[in-house]
Amino acid sequence: MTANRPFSFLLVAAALAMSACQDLEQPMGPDDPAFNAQAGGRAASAQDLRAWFAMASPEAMALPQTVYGAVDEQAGVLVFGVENANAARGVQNALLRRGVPATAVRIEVTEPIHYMSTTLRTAHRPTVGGIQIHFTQYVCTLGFNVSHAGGRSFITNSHCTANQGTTGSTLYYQPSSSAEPAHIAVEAHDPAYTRLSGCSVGKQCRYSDAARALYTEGTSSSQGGIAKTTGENNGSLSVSGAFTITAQNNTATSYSGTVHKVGRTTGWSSGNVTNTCATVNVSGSNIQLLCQTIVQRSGTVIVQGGDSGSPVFQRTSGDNVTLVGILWGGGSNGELFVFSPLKNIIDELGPMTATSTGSAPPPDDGNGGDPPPCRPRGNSGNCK
Amino acid sequence: MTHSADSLRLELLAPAAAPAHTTVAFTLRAHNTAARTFELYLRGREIAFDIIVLDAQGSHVWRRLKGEMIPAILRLEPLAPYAALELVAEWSGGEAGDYTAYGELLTDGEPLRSPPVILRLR
Repeated sequence: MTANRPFSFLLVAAALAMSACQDLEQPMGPDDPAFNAQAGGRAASAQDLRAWFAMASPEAMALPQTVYGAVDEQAGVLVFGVENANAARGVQNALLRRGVPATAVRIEVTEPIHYMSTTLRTAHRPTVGGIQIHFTQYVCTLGFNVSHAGGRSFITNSHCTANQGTTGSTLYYQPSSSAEPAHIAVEAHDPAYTRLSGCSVGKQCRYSDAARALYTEGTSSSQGGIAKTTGENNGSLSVSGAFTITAQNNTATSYSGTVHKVGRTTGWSSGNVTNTCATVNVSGSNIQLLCQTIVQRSGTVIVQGGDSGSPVFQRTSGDNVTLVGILWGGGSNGELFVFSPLKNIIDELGPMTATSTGSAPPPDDGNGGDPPPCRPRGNSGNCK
Repeated sequence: MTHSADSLRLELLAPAAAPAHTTVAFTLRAHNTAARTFELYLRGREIAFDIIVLDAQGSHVWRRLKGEMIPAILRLEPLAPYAALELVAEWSGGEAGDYTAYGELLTDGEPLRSPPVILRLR
């Protein structure tokens, strides 16, 4: 059994290797003018050290490749860590210029201190697609940011709301309420599941598992951005860059070839479209989703719990992508996922712009929340 | 899931024997054996759990979640000290013979799996 801790949000970890210690300077003796001038020929006191540190460390620490500075009262010296011997000379000169005797300084070569890499489960401001969100007792993925007539928003799954199929006031946190107690957005639109044409007996249907959440004023968001992890289908959650949504497919419900997704649990993964415009029953409910797309990658886990809401896209060139939909579920073995095409999302939530350069779409024509006007049948065909 | 997995005991409860071709009830039980709360991270709005039944040759006879499309939401389910979570499923049964069954709880990583139990249909 594995111990997963989605709420472990370490922002900083010092990879501090203090062991690579090396004195680089030639100690100055009592004859050195600086030594005598500042310390009066005696061993430096703690008071001297603190005074020298306060006086000289701002300049020394401003130099490139300086890692840390401290007072070592036991050894009676100021200690500075630098990334390499070249940087040591600059620190040494800066301290001498400030009148700190060389005998009262120890310079060590050390590893630089890095921030722990940002992951899909850490805080992101501005927010981007593919990162963790949290509400009530659930965790999902933020799909994508949009300009919408209702305001600056993000799209996630309808089942990632407190009451699925009812527009409520779900508060969303990123990455979690424990890590960042201020909510980032409030649920704004989650249309009802109804008895649509083509809906099976005993089922309640929609064309997309999507809901919109309106950002709070103080939360910054990056439209067009999707977090990119360090590799495709390798399970990495470390963010190393970003995909940019340069286009969005507002018309197709049929796709082929490879599509990608980024989600807080399995990261960046991809698979091949195997079924389009499929009617899919949602496990554990009476919900049926019409005209969905199924994606598979045998032998690789491409979806797990927590990936709900992942943006689904096709790569065009480099990190530029075309947004095609939102992931909502998959099979128990994780090798297959299903997503709602963007066309269905727009038909139900109203016009929206997700591209990086796109401006706000025209006001909702009133069709948002209604069933899509086109109801493709079978396994083929785009809505026209 | 937080805490040491040692404090969570997952077991599948099933009758040792049952008539062939009749419904067999399974209970997948997750028991927190520790004196502190155990937080489970489970897949699904409704908790997604699987029951797998194998025949004497090791072939799959029944799998509760076979072909199911499960929402990929993650549910945080705190399990109070010494409390248990029980999930019930029914299998329509099969031919007379010996079977092995085990249960799985879907998470955001590898599923949590119960030890197998032996079931005889006669």
